[in-house]
Amino acid sequence: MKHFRPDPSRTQIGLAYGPPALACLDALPDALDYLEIPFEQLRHTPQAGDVQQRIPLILHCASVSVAGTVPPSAQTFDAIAATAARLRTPWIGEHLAYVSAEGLDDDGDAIAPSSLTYTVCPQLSEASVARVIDNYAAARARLGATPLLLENAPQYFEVPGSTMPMSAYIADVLAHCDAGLLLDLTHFLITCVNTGVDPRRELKRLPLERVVEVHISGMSTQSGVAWDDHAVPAPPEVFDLLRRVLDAVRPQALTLEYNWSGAFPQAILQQQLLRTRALLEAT
Amino acid sequence: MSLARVQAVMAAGIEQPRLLLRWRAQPERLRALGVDPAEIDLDVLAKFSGLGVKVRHNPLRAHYPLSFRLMSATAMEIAMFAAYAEFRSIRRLTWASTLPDRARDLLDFLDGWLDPADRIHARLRDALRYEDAIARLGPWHVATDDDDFVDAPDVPRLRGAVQLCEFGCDPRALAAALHASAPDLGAVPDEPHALCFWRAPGAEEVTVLDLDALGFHLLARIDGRRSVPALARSLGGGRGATAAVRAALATLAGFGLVQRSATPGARCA
Repeated sequence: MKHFRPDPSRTQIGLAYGPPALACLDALPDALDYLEIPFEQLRHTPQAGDVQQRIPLILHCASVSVAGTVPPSAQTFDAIAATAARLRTPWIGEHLAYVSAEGLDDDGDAIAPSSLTYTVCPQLSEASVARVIDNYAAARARLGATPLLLENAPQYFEVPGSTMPMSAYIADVLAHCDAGLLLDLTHFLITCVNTGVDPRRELKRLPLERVVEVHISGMSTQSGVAWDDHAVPAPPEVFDLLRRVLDAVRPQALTLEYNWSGAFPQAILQQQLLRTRALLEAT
Repeated sequence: MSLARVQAVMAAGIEQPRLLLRWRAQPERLRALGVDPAEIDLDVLAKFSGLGVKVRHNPLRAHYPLSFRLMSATAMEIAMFAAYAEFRSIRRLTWASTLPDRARDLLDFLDGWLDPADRIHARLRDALRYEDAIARLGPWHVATDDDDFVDAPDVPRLRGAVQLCEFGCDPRALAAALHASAPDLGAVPDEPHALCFWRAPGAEEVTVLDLDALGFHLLARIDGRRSVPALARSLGGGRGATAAVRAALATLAGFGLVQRSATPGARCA
C-alpha cells in the first residue's frame, strides 16, 4: 500500500476519488500524488480502497457533523477511526457543517430526526462556534491520533440566528481549536457570491496560515444562486483566489474535485491539473 | 432562535420538501417551532433540496451525458431537481436502488414536468429519450427469451431487441451542438425524426437507424404474429399496400433487423 508523506518543499496535487480520477490515474499515473477518498464511499464499497496499491489516499469525511447538534453513532466514529488507521491518512478532512439534526414536533406531526447525504452550512453564531469546539474535542478523542482538518461549507442562504459572516466564523472556530483548515476555494467563492461580499477582501480575514489542504471544483449559477458543481471546471475567479492563497501559504495538498460525472472530459481535467501545477510553480 | 431548533428545521425542510410547502402556507407553524418565518428563505431551501437530489443522481451522468450537459448549459438542473424532490417528498417515495430504476423514475417524472411547448424542455426530452434507449439496449440490457410468435413463412419477426422513438429534432445534431464549448441549441432545427434503436442478437453495441414513416409504423406493428397482409391492413392499406410492405420488409431484412424464419428472436421493446 502507498501512503501520503507530507513534503514541506512542495504542495502535492491530487484528485477526488471517482471515475474521472481513476481514468486519469490510468492515463497519467505520474500526474497525481494522491487521491482523496470519502469515508462514506469506503464504508459502502470497501474495495474502492484497493486503489491504494497504486497511489496514496487521503481520507475525506462527511459523517462527523462537527457543526451539528446530533453526534454520529459510536459505530460511525469507530469506523472512521479504523479507516483512517488502515489508510494511514495524514489527516481526515471533515466539513465545518452538519448532516444530522434532531426531530421536530410540527404541531402534532412528529418529524423524524434528519440524516442528510449532503452537508449543510450551520448557523454562523457564537453558540454554533461553541458547539463546534465541543464536537471537535469529542471527535478528536474518538478518532485517535489522526489530525482533523475542517473544511469551510458553501453558504447558499442566510441561516436564521446567524450573527457573523463565514470568514469570522471560520476564524473564530480555528482560534479555539487546533484543527487545520481545508480551504475549499469554490465553497468560499460561492459563499461570497451568495452573501454579496468581496471574496478578495474576505480572503484576508481567514487564518490562511492554518491552511493544510485546498479544494478546487466548479461552480454554477442557477435559479439566482451560486452552487457547488463538481461536474464543471473551476471558474477563473477560483484560480485568482488560489494565487492569492499561495502568496500567503504553501498548503501540503491541493485536491481538484471533479468527481460528480463519469463523463467529465479527461482533456479538461488534464488542463486543470496543468494550470494548477503551473500556478504552484509560479508562486 | 435556538441553534438546535434552527438547524433541525432546515434539515427537515431539505430532507422533506413537502414540509417547506406546509410552512409556506402556514408560517405560524414555523413560529411555533421557534423560527421566525421572516428569517428563513424557504424558496432557497427548496432549491438546496434540489441540489441534494441532483447529487444523488450523479451516477446517471455516465449514461445520460448529453442530457446532463443540456441541463447544465441551460442552468435548469436546480429548478428541475427541486421540483423532483418536492414531487417525491409529497408522495413519500423512496429511492430506487438500481440505476435503471432510478432513471426510469426520473424520466417518468420529467414526462409530466417538461413543457412540450418550451423549446429547451423539448430538446431535453429528446436527449433523455435518446440516451435512455441506448442505455437500456446497451449496458442495462437484459436478454430475454421470446417465443411468442407464429412459426409461419409470411409472418415477419424482429431480430434482437428493438426500441422505436420519435423525436422533435435529430438527437445526433443535438449531440453535436452540446459538444461545443458554448452550446447553441437554437442551431438545432426542429425536425421530427423517427429512430430505431437496435441491438442485434449477440451484439454488444446498439445500432441507430433512421426511419421513414412507413418503416416506423411497420416496425411498431411487427409482433411475430401478424402476417404481411395483416400488417398491410393494419397500416390502412389495401392490396397495393401489401407490396409496399413487402418491399419495406425486404429493406429491413437487408439490415438484418427483420426475419421470417422461426429461429428465436425478440420483439419491439
